[in-house]
Amino acid sequence: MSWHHPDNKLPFKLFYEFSSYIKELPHHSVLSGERDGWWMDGWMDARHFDSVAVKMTTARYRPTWELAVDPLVSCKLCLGEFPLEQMTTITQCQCVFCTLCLKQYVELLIKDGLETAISCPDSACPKRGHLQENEIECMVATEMMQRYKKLQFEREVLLDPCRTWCPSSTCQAVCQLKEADSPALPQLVQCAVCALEFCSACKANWHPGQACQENNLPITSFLPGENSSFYKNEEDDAPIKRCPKCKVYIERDEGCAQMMCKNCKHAFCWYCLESLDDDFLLIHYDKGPCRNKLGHSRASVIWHRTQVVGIFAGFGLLLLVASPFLLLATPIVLCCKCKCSKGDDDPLPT
Amino acid sequence: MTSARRLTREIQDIRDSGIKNFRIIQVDESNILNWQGLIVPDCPPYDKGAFRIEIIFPAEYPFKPPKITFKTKIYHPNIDEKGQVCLPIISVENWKPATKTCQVIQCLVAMVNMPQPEHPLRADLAEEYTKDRVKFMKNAEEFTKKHSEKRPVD
Repeated sequence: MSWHHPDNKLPFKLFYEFSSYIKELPHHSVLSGERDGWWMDGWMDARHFDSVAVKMTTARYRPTWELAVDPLVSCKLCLGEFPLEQMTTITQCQCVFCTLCLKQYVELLIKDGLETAISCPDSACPKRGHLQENEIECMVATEMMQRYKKLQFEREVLLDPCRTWCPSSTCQAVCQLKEADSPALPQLVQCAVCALEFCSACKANWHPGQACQENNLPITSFLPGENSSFYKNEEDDAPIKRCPKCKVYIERDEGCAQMMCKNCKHAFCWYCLESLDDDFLLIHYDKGPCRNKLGHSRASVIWHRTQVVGIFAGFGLLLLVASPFLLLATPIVLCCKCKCSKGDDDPLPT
Repeated sequence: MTSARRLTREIQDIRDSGIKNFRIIQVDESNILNWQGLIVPDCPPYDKGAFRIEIIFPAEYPFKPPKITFKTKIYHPNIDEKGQVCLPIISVENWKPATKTCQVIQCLVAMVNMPQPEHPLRADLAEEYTKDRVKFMKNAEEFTKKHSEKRPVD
């Protein structure tokens, strides 16, 4: 941190120009501004008659004049001060950080599996710059760079409608799709490496003339690499699936296997995705592959069934009791209706 | 270690700056990654008290964002019963390493002073805030008087 007296020629003229405005600001306001290619940030520290003293915390961009007072530049990341040769300038935005910090920043992003391009680490960056591939290459180790390129490539394929991944967990080669009018339509893809034939949309075995059963596939298996093989082992436990009806993504964090889609109110079995809309008694979980997978105790299932049967029985009884009245009332209601509609049929006076 | 070096400077800067809305900064002697302080809001209904917050910095700071929790109960649409707060500037997807703790605190103070009911953590309070401001102010003031800490005198 360096103190500058307002008499110093360095960044303070900037603040003279705005002094009337700045003098209104509370003490210790954060200030930033540009002059002669210098971007500066600092705290307002003292007020003078016609100027303010600013405690500079950072300045970036190589100045055109000689750094007579302080040849050190401070890094916005570690807040340390270093000579310019220990700093790195991002080409696109000209922001300057110490080389060590920038390297740490880039390495951590790559290690965490970056989702987008690597941006300038400063939120106040005027150009919202990004680091170019050659800049990253100069900074990180070879293995790290390989991982960066792999991640970039995976992202590219994922976003490319004309390329897809071979769904075989042992292969995972990139397959080219035929250039159809609409690449979103399902088409037969044959992997050039392992010769597997699969559907481009649902990744299941090719099913000519049939619609995709894509709801069997958790979205995670669209992701290549470590992630998909990780999830493949326990596909049934994938936490995210799609509603078989409206295809919205659903995450199940707790609860039983009887799922109700919040979006379309469709009820289905979490494991086999079969519809449970008409299965009020949950008989689905008594037999077949989902036997005993509901996730409720036997007693609570029986209680649930008793309730459902009870509700139906109650309605039935009510209908039975009310039926004589209904039989009597129906002709009367119908007669009234007829009369009313006759009245309505009269042409309206104009 | 970048985190320790930077945090030492940040504490020094915040203490030197004498910021009004964030007081009594206590830093765990053995662990500089753990801070506590008092948020002193200026706007009603929160200007009747002060609120203790804890800031936990990850070992990878500043490359990963700090986490803030309120230790004092507060009646606020953007702060839940556990003291968790949703501040976009420190969310993982928005975080920029050059952002300093004083800026984060300024954002936090601004949010406390001016609730954002369109991004609530407590939907019930957000609804009250938008539909019946008078009732909200009354409830929040009572709550503040009952639960908040004393404001520093100076």
